[in-house]
Amino acid sequence: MQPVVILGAAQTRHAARRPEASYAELAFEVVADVLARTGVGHDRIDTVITASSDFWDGRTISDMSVQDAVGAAGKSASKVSMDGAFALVYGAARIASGAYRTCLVVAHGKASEGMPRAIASAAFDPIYERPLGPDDRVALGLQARRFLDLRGLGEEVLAEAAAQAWTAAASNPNAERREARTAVQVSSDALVADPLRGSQLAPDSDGACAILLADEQTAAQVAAASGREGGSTTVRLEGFGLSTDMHGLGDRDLGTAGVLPRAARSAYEQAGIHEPGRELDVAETYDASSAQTLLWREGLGLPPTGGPAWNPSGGAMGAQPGFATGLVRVAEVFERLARGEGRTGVAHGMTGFVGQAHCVWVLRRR
Amino acid sequence: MDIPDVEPVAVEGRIRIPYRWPAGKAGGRFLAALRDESRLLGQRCPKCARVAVPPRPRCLSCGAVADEWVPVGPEGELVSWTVARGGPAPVAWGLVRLDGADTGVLHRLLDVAPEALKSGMRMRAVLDGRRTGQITDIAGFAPAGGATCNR
Repeated sequence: MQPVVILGAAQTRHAARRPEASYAELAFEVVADVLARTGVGHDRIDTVITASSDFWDGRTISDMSVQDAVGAAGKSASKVSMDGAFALVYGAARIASGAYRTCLVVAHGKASEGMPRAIASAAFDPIYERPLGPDDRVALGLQARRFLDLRGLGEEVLAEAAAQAWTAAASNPNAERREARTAVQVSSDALVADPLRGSQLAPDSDGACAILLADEQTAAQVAAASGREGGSTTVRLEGFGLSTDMHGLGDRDLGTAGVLPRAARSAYEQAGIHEPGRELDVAETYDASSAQTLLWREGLGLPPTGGPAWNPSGGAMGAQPGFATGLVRVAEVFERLARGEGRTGVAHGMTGFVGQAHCVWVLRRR
Repeated sequence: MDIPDVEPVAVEGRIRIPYRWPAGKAGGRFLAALRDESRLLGQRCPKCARVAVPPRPRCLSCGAVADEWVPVGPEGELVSWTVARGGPAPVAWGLVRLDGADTGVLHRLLDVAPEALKSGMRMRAVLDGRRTGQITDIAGFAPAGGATCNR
């Protein structure tokens, strides 16, 4: 298999509302940005993979409406209707196979265009659950309650995790939430789905993310053409893992990290990581609630304190631009490693209610 | 040519498409028993004995064909709960593991104040007086000690 190099990444400044832009324009924004950053022209892109949701975009075959924006015409393009971290699996596989030399992976999400709760509600089982009218926050509340009960923890752990995320997001220029908050401030917020308060839930954001992948030879050519020292700043995708759990909320134990450890094990094994808490320098997770911040940390095999820099961007608690959210996690880890802040990092994406499916990536700078 | 910025222009729309989702063989039997006999049924795996409610034609644990029907509930244990406060009135939700079942059912919780909710408490299915063969034939779950059985 060909090693897969990340040539560059770009993300929007995520916001609660971007009424001046269509979702295709959000996708165009990050594509133009990543091409400018890497100095790669559209003519050098072999294949494009997009991640989008028909329900979120309010139209079927939602990938076709961004094909112009991502420059897919005349190329082999395909779509993953899951979080963007999963789309990266498809893109990386195309490079690893040797069939393509470059691949552009683009994900967008524009929550402000529809009704996030109603759309989430449509993901429940139509026979047994939808007629009752639950939404994603019901699922998140049930998970958080079970998480606390199973461990005998109090609600203050959620407030502490949220305060840490808000504080980190405050210094992330791309985050939607940019206001540091203390645990006390978070605890005084109104309950939305007990035990979760508004500030312990990820926001619904507008945004997009693009990652440009290449094989080693192309990466070296691009680096040489740009006059940069290629070898020292090459960041590779070195391991990934996917795992899917049962769909029904009552079929799994929501108080555990579920099948995430399985995906993490696979990613670590491929990357030759034996002690993630010691060997990783940075970790970014798709945490839709503060309970997930703590659960996914455990699921990735990381210690409760210490270990790698934990969600230094604020994680998804800082911004949750739909299917771009997981790809943004990869972009955040990439940027850190490319800047020389650490050598190895892990990024996590998620699809389905409260972590039904997980995707784990290990990135390493060479 | 210099194009000045304009106020954002948006097109309003709405998608309303009726669907018809068959409950399937197992689901049909489960819903018919609820409607016609006021009975809650689960499907038991002959291989690993896991009982699923709602029923699945294949065992969630081992994949074997699960075609054995067993009565479950109407009481059970509250596995987890939450109160959704986004709407006009708070709505309590729970996952209830019915007696005899290995899985939890997602449903609304009735006749209980949010302060009184506690994981592990005993709950009882409250059936709706008017049956339609839908999951809403269960009106919700109320604390098992309460007086109501049907409404």
